[in-house]
Amino acid sequence: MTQDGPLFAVQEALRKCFPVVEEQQGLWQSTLRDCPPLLTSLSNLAEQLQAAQNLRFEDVPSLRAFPDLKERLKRKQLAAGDIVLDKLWERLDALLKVRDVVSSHVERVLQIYEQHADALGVDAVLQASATSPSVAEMLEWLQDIERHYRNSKVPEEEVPPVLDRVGRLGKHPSFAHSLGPNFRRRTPRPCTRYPIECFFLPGRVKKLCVSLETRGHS
Amino acid sequence: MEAKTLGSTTPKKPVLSVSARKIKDNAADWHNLILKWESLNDGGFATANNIANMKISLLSKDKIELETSSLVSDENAGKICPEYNRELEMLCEELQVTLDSLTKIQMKMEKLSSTTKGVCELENYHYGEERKRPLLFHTWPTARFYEVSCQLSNMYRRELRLKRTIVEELAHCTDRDLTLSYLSMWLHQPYLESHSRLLLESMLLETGHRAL
Repeated sequence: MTQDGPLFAVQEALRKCFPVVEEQQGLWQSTLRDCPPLLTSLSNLAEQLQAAQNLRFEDVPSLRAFPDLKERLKRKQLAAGDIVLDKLWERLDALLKVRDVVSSHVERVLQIYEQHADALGVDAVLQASATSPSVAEMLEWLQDIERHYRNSKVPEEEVPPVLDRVGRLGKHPSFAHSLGPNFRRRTPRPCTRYPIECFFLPGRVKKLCVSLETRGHS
Repeated sequence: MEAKTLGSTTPKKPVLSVSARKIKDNAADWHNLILKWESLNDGGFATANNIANMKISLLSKDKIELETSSLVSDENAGKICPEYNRELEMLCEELQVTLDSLTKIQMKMEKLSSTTKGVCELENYHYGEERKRPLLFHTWPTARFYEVSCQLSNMYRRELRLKRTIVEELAHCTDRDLTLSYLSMWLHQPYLESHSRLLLESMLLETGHRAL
């Protein structure tokens, strides 16, 4: 009976955690679905910018009457790019929030497990039943899930080169750290207490670039 | 002060002077004309986009034909010219119609500026050199309406000039970057500065079309 209490506490924490993860996964997916159209319009704008930059307006007879046109057009294109970028930052914030919410819930479960680890014993942790996987397995899943969010693709720290003249980009100094490892969480500890291998590896920061298609969009 | 009137209520809004009414109507007209301009701009962009796509595909078709025919024989060399395309012609006419409508709108905008100028001149005639003139609405002197009208008119005049150039050139353009830039110009309207929206909104606010 002495083991039931701690086991129940850990199982209860796990039971509460999974629905949260499921809900957050829904958010993650829907946020990701919003991004491709935004990236498409950003790449389209980049293409427009590039096309204008490739031209010497003063060599086009019909445009000679508009001496300030190139600069004006560029400003408008960049402003339009800013609007799209702002929308992308919003999506990025939403993804970060998902990562943090999942992280904090997983962390809470692990804390509860740690509190009861001594009382539980390895056998109870590894014991699966007909209706429930073992605690060890479930903890492992949670850590895999958390790692999945941390290791997911993150944007390039540098802004795409054609957009680097946007005046307002200064307000987004760096967002590459954003989806990377969450250093606010507790520091890694030796894993002797965990029944499963758990390394809090910092997430590898993969970089996502806005690719410029020079052909195909018209 | 409470005059007990039976069955009738006095209107809450003070009756505007004729000048104020004119200015207020002008502000509403500005708003409506700009809305119309925007919707014509959207429609025109769709047409221009079709023209550009068709032009690019025709160009690549001509190029292929040119290459193959020069391989077959030299007899046709003189005959090869870009194929007359009925559909392209129709699209160009459509864009021209849009440009004509935009031109009409711009003329109406000029007229709004000139009537506002008229109101200012009338005020000058009444008050002469007097510094103290009654405000028509909240904070703007009447001359400010004329300034704003002129600024907006100027932007739309220059933008129209650019659009006319685009309409003239787009279907003749053979350079991809230039075609794309023409489209981008049509879409982003570089001569309509970002503060035009602010000018319009402040005019609507001042004249009471927008609630404070």
